Amino acid sequence: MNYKNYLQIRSLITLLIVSIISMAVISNNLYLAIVGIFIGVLFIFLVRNKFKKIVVDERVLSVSGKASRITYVIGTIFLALLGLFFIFLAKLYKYPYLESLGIVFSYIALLMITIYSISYHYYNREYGADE
Amino acid sequence: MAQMSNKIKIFRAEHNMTQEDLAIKCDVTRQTIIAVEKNKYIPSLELAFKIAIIFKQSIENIFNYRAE
Repeated sequence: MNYKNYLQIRSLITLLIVSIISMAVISNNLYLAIVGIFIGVLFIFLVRNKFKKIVVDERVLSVSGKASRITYVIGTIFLALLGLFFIFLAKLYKYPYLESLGIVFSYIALLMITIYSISYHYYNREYGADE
Repeated sequence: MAQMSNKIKIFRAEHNMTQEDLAIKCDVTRQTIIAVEKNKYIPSLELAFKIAIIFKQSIENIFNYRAE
């Protein structure tokens, strides 16, 4: 199996999981979604084991680190602004459900900041910055 | 601005090695070797040492650093 085949099989498995989960959502079947996710994870694990070649190395980690940071910055700012927007909109037009939605978005933004801070401090200590 | 350059392509040709061969020996992907060869990615010290050991050269012989 070469790298191209590995990528094709991985995309196929992802497509399969997405279709099973979509079917589960449409038919309102929680068990089908759980089974779909379980089978997908199992398949990806087996294919990755069969494909012995290195697929993640220092460059991939560096690229994913930068992509994660940009995703975090954009995602957090977007969610926080969206939350504020909904809260102000609710106050302006007296829509209580919009305020709840805004609060939920704000809490998600706070959760993201918390997770980022914890993981940042963990890795900062892991890589030697004790003081 | 600092500039990095390297002679990996030359040493690879001398050792009759493909990018894939070098990637397997260094435990990295072929894309990483391509990026290092094109000076688009600066390798870690560990990878630089691995490459130097494979070509039986010193790091300075393979990688050049020029501060401008």
